[in-house]
Amino acid sequence: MDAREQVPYPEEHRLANLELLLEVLGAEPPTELMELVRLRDEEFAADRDHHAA
Amino acid sequence: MIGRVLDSSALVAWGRRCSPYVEASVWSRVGHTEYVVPIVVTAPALAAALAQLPADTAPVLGALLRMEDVTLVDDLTSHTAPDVAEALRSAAPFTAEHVTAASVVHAARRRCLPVLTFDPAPLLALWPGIEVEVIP
Repeated sequence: MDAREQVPYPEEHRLANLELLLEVLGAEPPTELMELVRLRDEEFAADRDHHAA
Repeated sequence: MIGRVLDSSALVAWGRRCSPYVEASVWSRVGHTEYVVPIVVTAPALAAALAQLPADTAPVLGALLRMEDVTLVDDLTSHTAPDVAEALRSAAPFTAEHVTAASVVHAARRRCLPVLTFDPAPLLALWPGIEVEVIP
């Protein structure tokens, strides 16, 4: 799998993975930092679009 | 959303739980809906991280490796060694640390993914064009 592929992510796997994270980390997802992660990801996507153009 | 290759510095931070940003990066990808946003770990980077982590961090690192569909471990095998060596060649003379970095560079190149890291210098030395996300 690479960044050019979109492999389906079964919802039951997603929920099980989230439950495991919650269990091992013992904390809810850090929503504010996740927004920063999302913004930085958008920057990567924009850079790629720029280079591809 | 784009996946990430986690190098040994990111894996150590994950295991020690010393970087909220690394945790947010993992939460974001694991929780993404519809399609898989991969988290890639190379076997040499994993070994380097394990060597730096105390045994009581094993459950945290183990959980990351058990993320179904999401976490992919790239092994260093006889089949992948030539491509890792190609990344490594530019570092000569090299050390064992370079092998780990080369495995990360190879995974990033092969999968077209950025690398999440505290220390981009060894990776950039091997491949100046590599996409790196420096952990804040």
